[in-house]
Amino acid sequence: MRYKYQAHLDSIANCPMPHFAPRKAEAYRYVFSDSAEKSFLPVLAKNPNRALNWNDVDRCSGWALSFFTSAATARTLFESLRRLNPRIHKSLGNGIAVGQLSSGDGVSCEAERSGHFELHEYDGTELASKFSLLEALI
Amino acid sequence: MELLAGQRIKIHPLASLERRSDLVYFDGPLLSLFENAQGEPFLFVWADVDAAANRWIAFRVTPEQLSSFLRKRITLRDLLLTPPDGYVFVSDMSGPGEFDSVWMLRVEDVPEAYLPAPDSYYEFEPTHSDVDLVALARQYHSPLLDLHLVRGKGIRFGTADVTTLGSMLRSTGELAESIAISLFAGQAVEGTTKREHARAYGQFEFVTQKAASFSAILRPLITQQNFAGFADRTSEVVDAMLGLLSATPDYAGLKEAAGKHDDPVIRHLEVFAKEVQARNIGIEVRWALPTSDMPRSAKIDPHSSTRIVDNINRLEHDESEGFWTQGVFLAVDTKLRSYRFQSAAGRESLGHFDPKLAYPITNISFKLQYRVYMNRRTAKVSGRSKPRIDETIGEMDGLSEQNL
Repeated sequence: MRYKYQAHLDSIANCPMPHFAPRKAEAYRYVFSDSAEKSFLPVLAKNPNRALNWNDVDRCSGWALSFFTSAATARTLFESLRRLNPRIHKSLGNGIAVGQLSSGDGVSCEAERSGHFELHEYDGTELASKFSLLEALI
Repeated sequence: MELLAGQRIKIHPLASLERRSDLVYFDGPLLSLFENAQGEPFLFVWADVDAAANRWIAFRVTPEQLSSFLRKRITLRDLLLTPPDGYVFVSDMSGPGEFDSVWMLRVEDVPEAYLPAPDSYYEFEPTHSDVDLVALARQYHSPLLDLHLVRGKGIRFGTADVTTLGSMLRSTGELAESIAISLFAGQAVEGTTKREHARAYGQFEFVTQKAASFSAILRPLITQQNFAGFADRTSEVVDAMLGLLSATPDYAGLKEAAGKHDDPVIRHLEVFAKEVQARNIGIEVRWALPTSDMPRSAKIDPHSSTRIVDNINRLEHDESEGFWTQGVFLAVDTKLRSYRFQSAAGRESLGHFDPKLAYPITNISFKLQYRVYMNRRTAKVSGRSKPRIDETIGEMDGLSEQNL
């Protein structure tokens, strides 16, 4: 299967990493309540991208989308980030959306202890229609 | 984005700073640690974004302030409002390294909307820690060895427990010296013994430390000039050390290494691995020349160190043997449970009685012959010329005079 950002992944060694696999999961993601289009862009596809340096591991991760396993973990992290960066909603989003990821959407890693995981989308995947706004963050 | 009241400047130090670590990272950095050429820390705090650029607030902090923040004693707001220079830089960046616009602001002019919350304590773990070892090697005009203590007992960002650091520096240094002796002891120069001369190629001195979690930067004691394409001897020592750390968690790798190196190298590798186990630490050992493109490296953690120690024990076990023999005791120390034994063939040996030996050793008579089961363990695990042989008596029977 081709990935949505295949041309970029081709230039990065070992990307996606071998532990990424197709999975089904309920997933929560930070989104912009006024723009579905802006809400499902990986960080490196955004312009300007919030970066000071990128090594290969960062770059690989930068072409994946971030999700959480629960709304509570997403909200907790957002509040922690907001204490340090009051305008974080302008970069990450101002709400949490929920949706079902299927194995045909791409390959993802197992969730970390924090509940965060990443998905590399297959070519043709459109997640905006599968997710709906669950709650506002600010 | 907010309007800024400061002075827009064209000359600033931000482009010359080097990233050390991302202290907060989610889909890219949000709070990053940089250093200037003098090793002074600077923080980059993400502040805002519009269609053209991300805005960062950058300012110098003291090492004490940084340590207090990482230990959750002061907040990011405290740091931003009390920079040692009294001012901060605000930079709009359209991409990595693109300082499109830079302003210098008095602290009181930083927009309220950008100030972290009063309870902005550090709740994260540093990631993407990085010391640019090649750049540092160029700065010092010397090859450098980075003993990067990634995690473990007493290891925090920029600090290390003295016993952990001390033991790892010592065990690394002794391993490198033993490798140098193993590789080069056959070659002497005037005024030194062969061992002293060889050891010098594996000796290092502590140069500096970097926060990443904790990197001890070491420099070879002697410098060597070589023709292009020829490795210097210290590089050979370090390559051998990196090879040992990478290969010996596999049994086949240890057997091969034991065939290449003297016994003390394997002994010092065992000491190094046991220190890693005992202190539950993860280490990355890196080596860079001023002319390198990339540092060479090897990693070891408690899991791989356990495998190294197990493999060394297995290798010794594989080289042990047991056999029955017959003879007389020439001496017995019941307190130390040691003996001198002469076999019927006339071979004398020294050893210890196994603690599980059932026969009461106080009953041993020097006039009687005994049939003993001797377990011989060769402590040598490589091609050393004189192996150390440990013998223990695990079983024995006294023979009556009719059997003699």
